[in-house]
Amino acid sequence: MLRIALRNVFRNRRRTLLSVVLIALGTASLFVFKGYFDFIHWGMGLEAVAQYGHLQIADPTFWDKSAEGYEYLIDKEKLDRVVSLLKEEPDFKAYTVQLMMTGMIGTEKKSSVFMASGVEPESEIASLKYLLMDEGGKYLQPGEQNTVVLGIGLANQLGIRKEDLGPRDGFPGPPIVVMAATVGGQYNARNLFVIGLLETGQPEVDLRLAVVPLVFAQSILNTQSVENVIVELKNIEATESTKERLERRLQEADLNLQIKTWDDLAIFRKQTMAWFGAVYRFIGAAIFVLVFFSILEVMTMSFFERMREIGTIRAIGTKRSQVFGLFLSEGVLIGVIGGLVGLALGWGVGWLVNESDIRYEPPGYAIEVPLQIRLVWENTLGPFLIALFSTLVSTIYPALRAARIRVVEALRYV
Amino acid sequence: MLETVNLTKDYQVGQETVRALRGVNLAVSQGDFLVVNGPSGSGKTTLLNLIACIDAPTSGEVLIEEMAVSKLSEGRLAELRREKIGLIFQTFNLIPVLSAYENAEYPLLLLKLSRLERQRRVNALLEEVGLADMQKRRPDELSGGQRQRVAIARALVTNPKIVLADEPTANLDSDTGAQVMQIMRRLNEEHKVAFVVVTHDPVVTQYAKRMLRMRDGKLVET
Repeated sequence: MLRIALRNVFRNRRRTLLSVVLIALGTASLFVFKGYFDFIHWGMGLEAVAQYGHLQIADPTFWDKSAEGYEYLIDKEKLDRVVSLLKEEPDFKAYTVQLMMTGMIGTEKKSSVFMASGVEPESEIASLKYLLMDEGGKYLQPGEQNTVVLGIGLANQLGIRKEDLGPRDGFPGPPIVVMAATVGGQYNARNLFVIGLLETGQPEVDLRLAVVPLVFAQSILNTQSVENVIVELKNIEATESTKERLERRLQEADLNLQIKTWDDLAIFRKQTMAWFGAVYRFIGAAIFVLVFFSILEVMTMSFFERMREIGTIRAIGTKRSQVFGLFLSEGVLIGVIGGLVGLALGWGVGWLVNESDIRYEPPGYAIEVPLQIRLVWENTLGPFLIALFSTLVSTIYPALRAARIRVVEALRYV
Repeated sequence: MLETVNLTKDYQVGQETVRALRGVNLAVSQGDFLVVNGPSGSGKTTLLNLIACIDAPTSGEVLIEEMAVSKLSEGRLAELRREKIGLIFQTFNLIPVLSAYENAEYPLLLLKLSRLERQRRVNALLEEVGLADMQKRRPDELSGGQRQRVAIARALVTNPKIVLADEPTANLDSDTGAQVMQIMRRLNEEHKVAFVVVTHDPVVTQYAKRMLRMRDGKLVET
């Protein structure tokens, strides 16, 4: 029957072409959507690793925000023990530490609340260096203790523009004053010099963000402690295994610290991907329904067109089950061809999009990002199976009708 | 070899019951060439459908090699048709997407014969019906007479016990009809296969070894 089905499929060219085009369009759309979502997923994953490192180690009360004051900080002695454990890890590459601080920031004329990330300027891990604006000055330099890079929104509030950057009067940039409470609760104030501006793409973040050297943050908070340890591994695949092993060893060393992976920390990515997942499922369902009804229509038309043929082959000894199998085989063949053509088409469209360097501004972002379709083999299976399954299901009803028709009625059909 | 016993067939048309066959008794033996003629609506095609096991009688029985077909399942009936019966239709009923060769080969695919055996039988029969050089043509590339000859080859390719032909010349001009009948008659002699031909074409009757007339659902010997 497969041989006959093959002949029918390849010789009923118009019907096959129509079906294949419908299925191919559905498969291609689904593949392109999947590739787009996947690119976002993949891109956000890279972004999350760049932003959070592979692992972050901190006090459990830091993670669940239940700490009172600064009791979650990791002191020097504890940090040294953590670092020595880290260095024994086979996939460990580098680490850095951070200390966040909040307070008031101001010039002579204006002031604003701010949230600063105290970082080691020499570290490349979870560095915000890549957010530095074009011609927006420079990033924190190793050894600097009293410089700051401001979010563009915060700089605007303070009246500091790109043109104001650069050394002046023997100082590295325009001066500002930072006020914050120490870990002991006393007010503290220091002078800083703005050397750069950065833009995250999220205006509400840019309104509050500042990056200061860790030593400055420790100095104004009057502590030697840090908030968290950010770990870079040799490869992303080692994330979970290192986390599990390290957690066990921290426990054995009686260090009450908790580890989060980049995946745990990238909550926005998770939410975005959950939403994209829902959209993908919806599009998948819509395409399933579209292909289902289109192929049902085509196969039902085919059933009526081939009524006498069905009567003939039944009369000369084809069993009902064989007629059913014939229609179903034709459906599967058309589904397979349509699915493969669709994947090729989708791959071509994806390649064209990638080559075209199209850029767009996602909602909530102030910068343009490239529109890319991720073209990987593992994305072909889902769209292909949806198209094939949809075709198969839509063929069942006409196949059943063809198998059940009375021979004499079919032969009489004009 | 083939026998019908008190065969009746009723059709329900609206509220009315139309009696198409009224107790038909018929016997066909090996090598027979039986022509059943009669006017339109006399029940010829109904009789042929019942003998071909593609329709069921209201009462009575069809016996093929002494086996009562009414007792057979749908699947077994299909097997019986493919193994013992060859069919020739008024409108040729070839599968449009298949070539002459593939149409003739189709029943052999159902019998799951080897490719070599299929080739041997199809080539021999297409040769016999004079279409050896037109094997690759599709039905729409063949004349009416050529199509009917392909249908004859298809009907005989399984070496059936009986070939049933329903108005085989109705869609052909008289010369072509005569040619087709000559081929059928020759194959009847050579293959010793029984033919039952129903027709209202008087030309066909001259090829009959035996002739019956159908009138108002009954058979009358002529």
